[in-house]
Amino acid sequence: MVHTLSAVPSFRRYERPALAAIGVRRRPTYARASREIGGWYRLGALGCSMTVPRDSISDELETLVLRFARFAGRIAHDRGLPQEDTDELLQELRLRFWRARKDGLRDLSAGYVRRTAISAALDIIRRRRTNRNVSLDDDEGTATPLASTTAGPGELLDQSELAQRVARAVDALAPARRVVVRMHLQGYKREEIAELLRWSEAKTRNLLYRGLADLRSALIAEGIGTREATA
Amino acid sequence: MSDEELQRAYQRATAHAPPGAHPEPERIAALVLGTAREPDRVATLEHVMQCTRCRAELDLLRSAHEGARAAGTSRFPMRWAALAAAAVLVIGVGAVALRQSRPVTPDVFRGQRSAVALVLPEAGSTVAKPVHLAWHGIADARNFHVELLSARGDVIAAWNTSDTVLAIPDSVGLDASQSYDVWVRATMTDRTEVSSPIVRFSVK
Repeated sequence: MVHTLSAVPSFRRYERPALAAIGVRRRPTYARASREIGGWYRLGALGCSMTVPRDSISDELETLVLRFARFAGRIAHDRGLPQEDTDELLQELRLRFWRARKDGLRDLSAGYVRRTAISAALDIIRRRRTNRNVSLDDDEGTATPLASTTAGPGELLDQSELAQRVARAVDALAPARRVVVRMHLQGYKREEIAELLRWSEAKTRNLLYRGLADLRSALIAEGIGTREATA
Repeated sequence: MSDEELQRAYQRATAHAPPGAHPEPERIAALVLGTAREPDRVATLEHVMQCTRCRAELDLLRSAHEGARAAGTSRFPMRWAALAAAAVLVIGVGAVALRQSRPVTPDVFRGQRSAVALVLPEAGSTVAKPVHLAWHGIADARNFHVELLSARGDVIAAWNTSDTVLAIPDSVGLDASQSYDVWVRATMTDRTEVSSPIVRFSVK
């Protein structure tokens, strides 16, 4: 009771001075170091906890996790994922590595790391879906209200009416163009769209360009918008 | 309408009432892993791009995939490094036989295309300040991103350059007797990236 984790500085209090000491051009990473206590790593997530001896391999694994955090954090940051998501993913991954190590982990190939990371993310997703299903307070579709201060072509239309018309115009596009346009309108970059669809960049660019042109024509036919913009 | 206005309107429209049932998480993962067939990819993305929750799941999987892609090719713990060193030795003997004039570059773990590799500093060496970095260029590289890391893996400094040499400025404040890691990531003209192995060095 007295010797609980509250005696150990919380992660945030432990990590921040270290982050501040590192200087130049640090990107947002959302990296969480393990609680390192007197030569032992203490790992805790979601009710599980384990303590493993600190040695060269645990240091290497921790370095790997921190590198993971840096690169995963870039996408999370770009896409506006909450920091809790990246933190949870990191803790899941760390636990899996350490458990595997206890079981005599031999393989740390790129394939193994990828499989482990994807299965950690899938577990988080499944857990959340289960929690949503049992929760009565289902807040499906809650979203931050979008700024409506810009008086554009839709100034004569109610914002949500305009939104519905745009969505209907997108629904009416040809399927191959439609999916690219949807991704673009959700803020995905062209190279991200190409990677997810496994299309060449030329094909992606072509279909996006045509899809946006179709969309604008359809909206103009409805009397919405005249301004051109590049894709 | 401008792109931004279209995006705002569309995102507003899709913030509510996602269409139909959510795809299984494995189907979203298949998008990230590239294992889904084309019709499945398009069908799944059609839903995901209209569903806030599935999109957050896609982004979580993408960030896991991207993190693994970078971390999984970095370095091996010592016992695996011994195996890798043996493999490099075998490759090295072959390379020396082919090109005796060129020194063997150590620990190239990435097998795709030709790899970027640091020439200076040498792995494990102790160098005097100012520390000069140099690496082999690579065909089709548009620019290079150089990262200096502490031995723990934290980024201390990063630079972008189109050159293949770089001097670490004094302002970085490298400590004598500390170990540092450095690596170079080439951005290719097709926007993919190729990374060098990490080289650890110390400062006199």
